[in-house]
Amino acid sequence: MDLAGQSVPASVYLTVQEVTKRFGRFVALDRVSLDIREGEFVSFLGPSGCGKTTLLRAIAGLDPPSEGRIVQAGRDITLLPPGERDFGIVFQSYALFPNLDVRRNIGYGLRGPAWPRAKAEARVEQLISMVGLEEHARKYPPQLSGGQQQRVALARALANHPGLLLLDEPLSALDAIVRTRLRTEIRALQKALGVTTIMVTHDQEEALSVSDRIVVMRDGRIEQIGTPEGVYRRPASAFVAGFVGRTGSFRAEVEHPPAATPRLRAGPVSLAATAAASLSPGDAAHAFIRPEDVRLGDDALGHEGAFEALVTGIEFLGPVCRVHLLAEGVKLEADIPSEGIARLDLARASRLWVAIPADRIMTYPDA
Amino acid sequence: MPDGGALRPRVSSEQRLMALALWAAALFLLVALLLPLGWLLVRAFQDARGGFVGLANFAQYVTTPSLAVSAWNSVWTAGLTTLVVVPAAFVYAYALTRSCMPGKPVFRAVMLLPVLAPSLLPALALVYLFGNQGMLRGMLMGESIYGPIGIVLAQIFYCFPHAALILSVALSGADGRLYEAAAALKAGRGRIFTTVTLPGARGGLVSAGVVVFTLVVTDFGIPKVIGGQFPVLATEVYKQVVGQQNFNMGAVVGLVLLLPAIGAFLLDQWAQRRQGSVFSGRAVPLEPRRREGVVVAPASNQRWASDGFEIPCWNGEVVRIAFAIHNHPVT
Repeated sequence: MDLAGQSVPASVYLTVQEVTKRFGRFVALDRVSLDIREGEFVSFLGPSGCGKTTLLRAIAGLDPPSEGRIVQAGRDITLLPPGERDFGIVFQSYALFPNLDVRRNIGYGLRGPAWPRAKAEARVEQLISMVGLEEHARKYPPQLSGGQQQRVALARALANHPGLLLLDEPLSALDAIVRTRLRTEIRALQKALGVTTIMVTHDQEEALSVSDRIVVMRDGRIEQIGTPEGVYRRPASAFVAGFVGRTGSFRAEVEHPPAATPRLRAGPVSLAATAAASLSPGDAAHAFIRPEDVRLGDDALGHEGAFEALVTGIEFLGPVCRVHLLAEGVKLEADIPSEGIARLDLARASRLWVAIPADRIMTYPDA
Repeated sequence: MPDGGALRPRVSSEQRLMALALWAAALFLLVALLLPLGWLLVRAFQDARGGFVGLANFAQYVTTPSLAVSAWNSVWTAGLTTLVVVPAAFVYAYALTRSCMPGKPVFRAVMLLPVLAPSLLPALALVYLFGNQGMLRGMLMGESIYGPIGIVLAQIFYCFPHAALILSVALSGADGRLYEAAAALKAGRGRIFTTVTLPGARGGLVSAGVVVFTLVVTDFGIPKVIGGQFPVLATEVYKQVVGQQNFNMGAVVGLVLLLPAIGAFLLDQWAQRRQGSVFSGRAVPLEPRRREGVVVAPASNQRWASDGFEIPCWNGEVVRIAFAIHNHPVT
């Protein structure tokens, strides 16, 4: 493609340009643009109503956009019907044909001159063994468990060797254990096949664990595009900081003491925060702190600016305990290994030393 | 519990009322259904004086040409009506539920109107139109409307709304995701129709067919008005019992009339069992639950326990039903 040489790297497989989708007067997508590279696993992450599913459906051609352009492999597909596009899709609720058995569900799209009967049958057998459903090939969807149904849906979506795999909340209807196992399987399969994949999810843990890149969306706009680590460690906005991963947050005022790290003041508590340098003195700031970044007890004492806090609650979460803290009106959460609880001699209403590394406080202007 | 006694809920007034209603219904069924049926069964094996004659009446029935002919007439007119009505009603219901054609409320009203009329009405209308002095008589090209032509035509009008109603319910309960999945898998319109639409409406098609067939076989009004000399089972019972006072032969014909009804019932049961596989993993048919046990409120001053469920309607609306029950004191 000639255009590719000019504006975008050749490895870009899917381009979404200024896509807007309106339902009546409601704007579901507001001039969204992004590039997805070949073989990449990208997650659209956001709360319900953020437009992530609308964007996926626009890419699939199920709800064409009101404005903008979608280019897949150099071909403008913006207004093509789903049948003329090159993708496979897995729906949240599987959408298997209940009157067809597993084999015929998987082979449903293998029709036409490109798929003579023998070739289609061989492909179906290959897919059935790929998703490990050999024993269930003759069963009908209602006879299968949720996880098995989703495997059939995945095999059906991949049957035609699509260039793009779309997953619309594929795991949200499953229970926690199956969900974790299946997401690992999907990721392994995606890597093995090298198929460009987009997954819509509202589960941030799911997005963080399987994606090459995450697109965080809110109110029909993209808030941030980045690697899981980038989105987690360097959130681009207060929304992303609060939505991705667990955070404690407080509101504060920015202070710039001469020749020292900028500080955040919330009542009597004053914390050094390197990120506050981007704000002007006197600005209202919204600060976020990840529970694993909070230092407690002896760990805290060595730090500059350690302060005392009251323990208001302790949650046992298995490998770690989450300690809820209150320091002069500022609420914090800290994760410590479960064995550490005994060492710190923690109990409700006890007081202990707390410190937060200055470079771990995420600071945003308070809107 | 203070005295450590067994937890036993008191029988409430609602429960007593329900039990009473149940017994009343059972009594009514006994009098209105089982007694006549039993009487029919007994009389079918008796002679006119009440003596037991075994299968003699049935033997006579099978060997009486006019009676066998009436049975055959009932079956083929019902079959022909079903063959015409079900596809026509399917097309009509399909247009009502799946198209964006204008004037849908009008068409729905036109479809439903005949449900309110007795079966006599289409027969009478046909008599006015095509009877011996009818204005459109010429269109029959010399044939008489009194006979199978009139019966089948009138039955088609009479049964159409029933079939269309059943089929429009069956067609509106479709799963939109399946259509999207099929479209994404590059299926054409014809293939989507045969692999998604038809299987989804299969239960409705069987039900509509069964209902139409049974309506026609058991209908008395239309053959009486427009049947002329054309004998069918329903008019034959009437002739035997009222005309010839032959209660025993009437009972036999009555039992024969039951056969299509029983057959239709079994077919419908079979189709419902098959229909189970039409629901996908997510969509689970709503099953009434029986609630047993004791309701214990978390605090003694809470007097109500409530629950609710939802029923999706054929027009896409959802009916939410919430109910609360009295928290009976437990002793």
